[in-house]
Amino acid sequence: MEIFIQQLVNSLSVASVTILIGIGITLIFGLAGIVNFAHGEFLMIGGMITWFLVTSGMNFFLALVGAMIFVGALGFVAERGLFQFTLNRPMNGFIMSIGVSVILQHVVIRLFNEVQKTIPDPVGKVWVVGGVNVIAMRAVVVALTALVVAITYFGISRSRYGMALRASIADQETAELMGIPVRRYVTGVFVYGSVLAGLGGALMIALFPITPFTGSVLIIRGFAVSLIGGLGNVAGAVAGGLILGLVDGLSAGYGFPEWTDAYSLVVMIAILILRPQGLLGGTLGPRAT
Amino acid sequence: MKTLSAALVAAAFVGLMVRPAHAVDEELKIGVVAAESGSFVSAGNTIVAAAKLATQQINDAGGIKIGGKTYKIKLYIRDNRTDVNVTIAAARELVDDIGVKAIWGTETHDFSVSMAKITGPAKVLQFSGNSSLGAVLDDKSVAPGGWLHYTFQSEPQEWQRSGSTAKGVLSLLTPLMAHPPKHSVVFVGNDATGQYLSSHYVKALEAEGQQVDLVKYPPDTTDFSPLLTRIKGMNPDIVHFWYNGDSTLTAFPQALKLEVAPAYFLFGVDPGIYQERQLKSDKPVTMSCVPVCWGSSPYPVVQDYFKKYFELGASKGPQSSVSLLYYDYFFMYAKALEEVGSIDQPDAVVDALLKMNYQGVVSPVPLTFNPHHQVTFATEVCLVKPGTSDEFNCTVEQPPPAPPPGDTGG
Amino acid sequence: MMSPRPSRQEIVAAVVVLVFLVSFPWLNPGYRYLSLAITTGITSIALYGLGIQFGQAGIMSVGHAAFVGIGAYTAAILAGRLGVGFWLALPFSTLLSAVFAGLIGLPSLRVGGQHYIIITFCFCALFDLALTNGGTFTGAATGLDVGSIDPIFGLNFDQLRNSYYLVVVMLLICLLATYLMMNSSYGRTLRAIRENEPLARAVGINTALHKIGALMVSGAFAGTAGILQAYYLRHISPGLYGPFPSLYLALMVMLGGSRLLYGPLAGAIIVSFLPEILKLDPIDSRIAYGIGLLVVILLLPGGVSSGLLEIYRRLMPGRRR
Repeated sequence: MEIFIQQLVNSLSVASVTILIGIGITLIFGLAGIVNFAHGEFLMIGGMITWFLVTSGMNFFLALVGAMIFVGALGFVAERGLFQFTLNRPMNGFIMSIGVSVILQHVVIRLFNEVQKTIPDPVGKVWVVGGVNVIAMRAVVVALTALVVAITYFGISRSRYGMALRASIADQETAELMGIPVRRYVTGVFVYGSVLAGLGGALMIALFPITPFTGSVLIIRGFAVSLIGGLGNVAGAVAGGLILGLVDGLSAGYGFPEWTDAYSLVVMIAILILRPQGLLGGTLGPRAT
Repeated sequence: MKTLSAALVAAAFVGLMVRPAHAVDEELKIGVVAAESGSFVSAGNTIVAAAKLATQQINDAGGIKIGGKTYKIKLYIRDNRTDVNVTIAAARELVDDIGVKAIWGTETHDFSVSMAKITGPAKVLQFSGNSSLGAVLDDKSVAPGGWLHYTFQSEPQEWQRSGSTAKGVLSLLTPLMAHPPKHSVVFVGNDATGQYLSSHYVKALEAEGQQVDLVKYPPDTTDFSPLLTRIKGMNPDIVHFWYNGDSTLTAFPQALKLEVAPAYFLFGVDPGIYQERQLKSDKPVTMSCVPVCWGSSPYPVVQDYFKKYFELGASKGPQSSVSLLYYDYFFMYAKALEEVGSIDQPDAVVDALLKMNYQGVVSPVPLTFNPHHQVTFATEVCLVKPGTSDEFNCTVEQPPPAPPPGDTGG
Repeated sequence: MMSPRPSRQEIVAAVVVLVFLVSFPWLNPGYRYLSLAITTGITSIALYGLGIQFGQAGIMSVGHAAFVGIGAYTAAILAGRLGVGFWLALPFSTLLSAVFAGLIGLPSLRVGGQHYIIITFCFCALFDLALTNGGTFTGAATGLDVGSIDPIFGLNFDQLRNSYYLVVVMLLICLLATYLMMNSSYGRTLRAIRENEPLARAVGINTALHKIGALMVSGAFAGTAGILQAYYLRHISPGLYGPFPSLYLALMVMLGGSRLLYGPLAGAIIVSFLPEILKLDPIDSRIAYGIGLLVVILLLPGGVSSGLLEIYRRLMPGRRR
């Protein structure tokens, strides 16, 4: 029984990192209409910046903030410099983002070499609760993610900014006519999503080593999570992340280990085909093609 | 002014034409195909570094004396970009355009096999450090006329490596455990190398009396906790992280935190890396190096090698010792060429290599190739004192004389 | 259904391309470039599949490498298990890939473009996994070995030049098929569906049939590329046919331009040869390649081939197609 609970506890922390990516993507994809395949690299860079700052002597949590700021700025540059020109042709934006991801991966290799990077566990404790080993850092990851989810959710649903955002996806032209600076909101959402990716990267390197290629492994997860939950739907991203995290954890725990990835792939395909609008409903994408 | 410059030019001309009467060095063209970019770059770079070090040492010592002439090695290094198309193009270039006599590489089994299909018909020698070649090196393929007749496997046969490792691990761990270990779990990455290596290691452990469970994980896993928790539920005595080094370094700290087992073995993790990462465990941990440890080898000749290797600028990673799978063979090849007396007789060179005994750096006993062109040497296993990151105790167990039951050899 | 007579421009372009392809080995390229040319040619055959399915029908996929893989593994398994050689296996590889492409295409009838992209990625990842865990049937992660192509008409394909011409012949067949399709009413229907599917349906076009048809043609091209690749590399493994190779295929066809006849070929040539010719450091060359892609997308949305076409049109005023 402890093993089962241990599996659940494990799944939660992995789901957290996936949720952080997923929220970023669901907001950017669903609300801003930008398909950014380099989002995984944003996360990786968040982790690399954290590593760089920590090994230079900075405290982990300060480095985490530094990473968030850096990646947020990176997102700003990317949106203003690249993605704003492809808003009307998201497929081009998608291909461009593949180019961006290749560039970012290799710039990181140039600067930091290709060997995996790691930092010592910032918290370092393991709590043993009733036969279950809870790694303290993982609990921190879950807590921070929950905080971010709460801020984002209430920000979108309650604040004026959030309402304006939702109006923008529902009908961009009308929103613009009503004085909502949609373009600025698009930039804002993009930067916010990037900041979340930076946070995700910092938390990730606190848990396990990362390489310049870590981002490309995670990105599909992020997209699947946001599509499963429903584009633009924060609660949906959380649900999607939890579901995939659970499927992963349980399939690794009880299925055939070498087929581990397959279970979540099948779940992704099934939900995408059977319920394209996502489990909790969302937009069908900026242009429902 | 014009006359002066004309005079200078004339003088330079004359100077160039009058050369001291010494023998002109001949060139021995050798190729290297390795990943200098792409995802396998950390292994690929070690091959290049080893080649450069060996070449520099051979050339600085006066080159190779073959048939009355002195040959200096000219290295032609080609990046395969971790791409098979580029590997093949590079092999074609080296073999057909440049005309090398031998090629070292690659770090990837698939690429080495594709490359051998080019070097074989062209009678170019190939030295590959992939033990998985054992699956294709058989009587037919290495016979004269076979496609692998000119290919040599510079990594020991897997069942040998498995055998000597299993012995070493158990001999180091058993004294430190509360009761003799009976149940081992082997945890391996599910790619070509992982599948091949584990198939032999499991048999080796069973031959030592262990009851073995094999768990294969998807190669790009970063969060090992679900699988590690599952393994914990199996109540193992020892968990063997069998491949690869980078994944092991990710999984092992997670395993420690989850308290998965009373003892561990880490394949391909060098004591040097363990120390650098400041890993620490209160449970006994053993590790092995592929093929020798750079972090704490008891042999001065190995320490000296790594000192020179890192001095040349190579990066210190889990794969650094892979370089030794390539280094010694430059010297063996040079020796074979000297014996044959010509660079244009590849068949004779192959025969010379098969008969040769060479004392290299990679092994305390002389290197030899078996009839299937595979080299033999022991594996070093080290135990780190529990609670420390830098106190090691290493042992080298000779490989078993024959494959264990159920193991087809290869 | 009859295609109108090709314009003078088209004939000139075709002759130029033909002459270039046929004469390449005689320009003394060296073995390295010849080998790269062969693999580039194989890649471009696969890319023409994407050209039909995305350029004409507007359906993007990042799982295309899986269909190349089906062609390759079919050939390798037939050779290993049944002793079937290249020529006999060729129709099987092509057909099987087409069938699977049609099946995997079914979800595209139900969901939108972005969803379908993720679905193709997932299917490709599953295919990779199935190959890796396929035991001795698929050779598992180690993969399968393949022999040589049986000689015909006295031509030995171990000679690099002959392999090159084999690939060129296949490529030319591909180009011809693409040209005929683009200029037929079938092509026009596909483009109508691409531009406005609900409208196409409203005028009575069976969009489902057309889309699946385009996907099957795409699969057929991929399967042909697969068997050619298997017999050139002589060793195949799952890593060649996973989602990331698929991503690079999508990238190449976008770079070259998916809608024009020579776009896929241009994309393959650029990606394979530019890093070679510029002799860039491998890491820098990938950075340059990524930047080049950004430049192309931002300034030349139709790909490099459409840019070249624009230049040609500007230089040759007068007769317009």
